[in-house]
Amino acid sequence: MSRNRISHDNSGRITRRRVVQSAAAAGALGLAGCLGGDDDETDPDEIDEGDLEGTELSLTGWATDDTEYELLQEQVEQFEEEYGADVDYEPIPSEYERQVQTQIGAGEIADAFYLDASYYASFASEGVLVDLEQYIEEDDDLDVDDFFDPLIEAFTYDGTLYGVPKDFSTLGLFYNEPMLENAGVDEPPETWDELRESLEAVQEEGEVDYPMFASDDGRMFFPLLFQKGGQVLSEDGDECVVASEEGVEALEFVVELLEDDLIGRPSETGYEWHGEALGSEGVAMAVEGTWAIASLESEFSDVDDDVDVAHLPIPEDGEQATAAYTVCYSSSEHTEDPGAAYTLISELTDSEGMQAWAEQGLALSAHEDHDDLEYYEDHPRRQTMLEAGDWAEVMNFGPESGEIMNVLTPELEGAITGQNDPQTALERAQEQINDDVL
Amino acid sequence: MAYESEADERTTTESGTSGLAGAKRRLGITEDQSNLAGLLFVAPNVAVFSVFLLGPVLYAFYLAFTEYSMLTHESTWVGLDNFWTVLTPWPWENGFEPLRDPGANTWWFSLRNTAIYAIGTVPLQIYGGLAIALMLDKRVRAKSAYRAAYFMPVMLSGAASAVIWRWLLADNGIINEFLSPLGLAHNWAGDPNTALGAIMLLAIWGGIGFNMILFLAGLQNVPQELYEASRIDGASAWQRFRHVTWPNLGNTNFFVIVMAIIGAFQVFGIALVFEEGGPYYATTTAVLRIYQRAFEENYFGEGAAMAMILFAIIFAFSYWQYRYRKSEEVDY
Repeated sequence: MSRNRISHDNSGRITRRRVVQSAAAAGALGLAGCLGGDDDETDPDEIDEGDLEGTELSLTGWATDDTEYELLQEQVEQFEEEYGADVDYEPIPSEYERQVQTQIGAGEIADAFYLDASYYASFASEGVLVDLEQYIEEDDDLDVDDFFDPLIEAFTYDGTLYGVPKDFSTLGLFYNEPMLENAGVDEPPETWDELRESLEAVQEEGEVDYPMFASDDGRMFFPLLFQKGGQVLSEDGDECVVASEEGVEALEFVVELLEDDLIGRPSETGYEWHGEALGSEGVAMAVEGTWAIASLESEFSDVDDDVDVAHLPIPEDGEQATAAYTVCYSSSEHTEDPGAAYTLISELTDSEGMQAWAEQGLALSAHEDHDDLEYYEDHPRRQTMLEAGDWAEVMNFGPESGEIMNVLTPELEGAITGQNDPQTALERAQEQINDDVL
Repeated sequence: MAYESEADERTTTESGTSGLAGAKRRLGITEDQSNLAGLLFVAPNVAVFSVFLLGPVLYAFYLAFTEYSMLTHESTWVGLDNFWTVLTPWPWENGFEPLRDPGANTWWFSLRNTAIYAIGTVPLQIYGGLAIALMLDKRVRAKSAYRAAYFMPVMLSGAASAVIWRWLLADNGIINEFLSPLGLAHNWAGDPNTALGAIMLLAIWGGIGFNMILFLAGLQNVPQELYEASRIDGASAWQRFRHVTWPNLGNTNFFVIVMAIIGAFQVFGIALVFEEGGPYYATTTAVLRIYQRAFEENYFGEGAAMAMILFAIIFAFSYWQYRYRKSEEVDY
């Protein structure tokens, strides 16, 4: 991975934010003047431009590509310039969760770092993260209400917020417009019945072997479960309830589509993932996350124009719902200056920081009021996926998420491959999770 | 040896002892053994080995008896609890349910998968390798090209070959193109009943070349005069193989079997890349389960306990093979 620092001349640039900040800083000048900048614990409320002179901070995460790396580096440099801090941004190239675990255990972790919602709770429950709520409450630039509720809920463990949402992705219905039109389907399906009908129409048209693509891990099951009103765990998280009537109906729907060859799996279609299947025009539809858009744009640009995104079809008796995947910035108790670490996090996730980050298009802005950004008006597919933030459910099931998924995924696979019927599969998973995990 | 050292000691005593030599003698160190230069040469290796291998192995052994959190670095001694959790229910309970149902005890099920994999791959890898080595040891046209071709898969990383084979074996893959006219087309990789077999096929393909090279090297060491003598005595080709080639390949055979068994029990990379242990636990092997338990589910104690059990199994096989080999040693 290339780690080129981009040379960027910021000297002559005046942003809107700068003007506002200078005004605010001027007002607070008297206050700021009284502050010692070198306190070990700095109160972020009182940190102003230039106040972190000489403070050394470190930041880590993963970078899917050079663009992502360069953008964050750019934001970091801007922060350095404004606050006078020295920030070392060093992404971890692989095995991120393992590395962060080890580094926290060894007390060598960066001051601010990414955590994925799928394992966030296992960190929060061990008490190794800094309570960020105390800082966010005093922060004028950032408020928990700025974010989509499900994201804040995802990073609230035991009533305390240990992570600030970095961005998120939702699952949507990707469809190839011309393929659907050829099959006589003019509008993307809005209900489960319509979905089945349109898949049957595509199958009849015979343009592709499988009208829809889905992975073996049964990911598509989760949004359907939520739409039916079902859940994986009970409200208090003490009990697995996935084998509810709603769960069984959702899984039955998926399995029936598979049995009728309306959905093809990777081993059936030869495609590794949804983006590739859509981009190669190997399927007409797929339930996939926001990240696929960027991949379609860059790797499959000739098909990209044909692929649109709609909200997931819902069951007749169900409600709008989808699954969301999200990542936060956290800080560990090993950090020497949590206040300064929070200031960096705040700067990266406040309205302006979030906007710059989200406009690279890999994931969606976690800010609720960003739906009217010009960027989203120009990128309707992402706007559709952003709208779903209102009714999305984040994929995390408490501190034992890893183990729960390791039990649930194979059982879903068992149903998908016909080893067990949907009801048996979910009951087996539920029993195992309740007996051995929770 | 005993004679020598006694003799040494006598010489040392006779020639008069300085303080250092005296100290050495009292410690039982003879001149032969006190090779400072030699020790210095191995020191870097011993240091690296201790820090990166021996140390972690001993620590893992300790972890197996604790509940350990990587995040807080705290460990609590739990005695044999981890082993008990991992091993129960025992495989024979409920009519061997843990061996049939992954949900009953995933560890036993993963060991079952590993055993099937070992039984299916080890003999074919070894004797397939031997057969090819014997064929390529003759005067064959373009011998080196064949040798290179058979050895090629060994040079591929496990992950790369797993990806290649998943494509080959996919429902619409090239293998099914050939099988479908015969009505034998099947989703080999995606069906829980055949996925393990698919991995075994890939392991045999990848392992045969390695053993072939070892056997070829072994064959070069068989003295030609033994073949000449046996020919003069009127031995048939089979008799020459049975009484000359085979006994002389004893050392190679021992090495190859031990390595193949260890390799089979430690299979991980191809299982992870091929289907991540799936579909439906079909390719969940012992090491893959250890990885999941420790690194995905954060139960390092249980993961370490599983690793110790696997170590004991591999050790038992290697030791048994070693004893068996001793009893079979030939001398002309």
